[in-house]
Amino acid sequence: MMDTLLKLLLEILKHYSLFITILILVILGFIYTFFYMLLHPEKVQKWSVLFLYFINWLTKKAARRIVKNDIEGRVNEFAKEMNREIPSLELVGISVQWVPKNETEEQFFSENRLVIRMRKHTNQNKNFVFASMIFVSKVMLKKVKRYLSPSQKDSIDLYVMKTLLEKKKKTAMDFFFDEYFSPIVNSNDKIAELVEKYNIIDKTGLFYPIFIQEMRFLGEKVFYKSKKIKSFIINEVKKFIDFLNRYAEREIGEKKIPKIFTGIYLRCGIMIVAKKQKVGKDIEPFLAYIKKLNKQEIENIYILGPYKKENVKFVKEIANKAITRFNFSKYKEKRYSAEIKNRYGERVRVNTFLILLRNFNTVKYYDKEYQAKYMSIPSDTESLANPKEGSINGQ
Amino acid sequence: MSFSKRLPQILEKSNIKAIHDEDLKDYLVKLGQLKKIKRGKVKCYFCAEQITLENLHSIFPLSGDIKFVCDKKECIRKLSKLLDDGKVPL
Repeated sequence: MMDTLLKLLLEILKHYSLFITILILVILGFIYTFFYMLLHPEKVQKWSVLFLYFINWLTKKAARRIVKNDIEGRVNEFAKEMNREIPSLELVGISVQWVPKNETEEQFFSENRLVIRMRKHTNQNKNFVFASMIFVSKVMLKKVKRYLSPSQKDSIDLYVMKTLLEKKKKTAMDFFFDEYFSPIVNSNDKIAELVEKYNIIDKTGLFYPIFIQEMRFLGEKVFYKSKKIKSFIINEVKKFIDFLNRYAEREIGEKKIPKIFTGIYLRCGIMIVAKKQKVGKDIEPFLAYIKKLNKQEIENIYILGPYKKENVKFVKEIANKAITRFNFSKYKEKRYSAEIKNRYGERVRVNTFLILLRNFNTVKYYDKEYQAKYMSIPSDTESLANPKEGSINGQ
Repeated sequence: MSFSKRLPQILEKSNIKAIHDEDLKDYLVKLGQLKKIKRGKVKCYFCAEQITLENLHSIFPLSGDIKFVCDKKECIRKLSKLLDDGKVPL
């Protein structure tokens, strides 16, 4: 596209003067900026905050707008990025609505809503943390959180808040850590343990692409809530976290680790395509493995490999063949940076490529009738959710 | 990159009702609560700590009463739980 643009510019320059060419460029720039701002209002809000600080210094009339734009711009940008990262996550953004100046007590009761106090923008870190905590607890994985334990829920919220602040408002991190994160984690061993595991899983780049993604899928499956089911799901999610944590501690070349998770609700597999001797060679062993996973009713297969030209091409070839042969769909592909352990146990940063294949035929919706007919949940819920080792020719 | 990925995302928004510090006192006067707060008669719904203009985090209606929440982390967590359970509408 850049080549085409350059050629076009050179053509214009040949026929018109430099002044006209620059004028055309400026007009095109304005048009591009206009449409960009129209399509990315959250970025405009974020950038406008600096300008608003200046306006407020001059006029003292932009205080509310600073608070509003800063929160909305950053949180909504984060929500959009998460939605791109995890298709179907469908995070909603936030809009800060100021209480009308003439709202009466009667209107307060008839509206029947929570009113959050926003401090002056000199305390914007506090405002941001308070608003974001509401956002994360209310909109993140809303459906599945009903089935999780309090420590699982709280730990996910804490971790996502940490990510939000790291990416969008680093200046607020100290406040968040001092006032909320550290005290909560230090006073609750279960939450501390879970957050530690999420950290390790996130180092290998799998917290959002796999864990949060699977939680999203789980939320779409479960409709019927009972104490027994909830207890079962809590246990299965616990085992799934341990499975991902064990995988995240894997060293390059380590073969004997579980790569398939076969729970009742969570059924996914991780397939690594990385060995130099195998990449670009015979595709059939990989497809045979996918066929085996398909027979086991594995719903989601995460194919991972280094982000290198030949590797990416090979992974895409495997995925395309799996799509035509075994009725999978490509749900997403992404490139990300991960820290994985080398043979000496040291973490090294690598660029990784991931394709998620999803078999829609194996997805089941567990309503009351389905459970009564097909599932007998044992009273000993420890015995279920059985992570297995998996290998392709010993890979 | 496929065309669908280039399409802009239209983000649905959840509204958060908020009161700015500059308007807080007037608002509390309209709700008939400012004098009570200054006299120390208003307590946090969760921890029963005295609510002041400094530690006030949020206000919500419940069963015909006005409830206040302080900015302690435990109270904000409990508020989040009520929000999750739908007992306090956002």
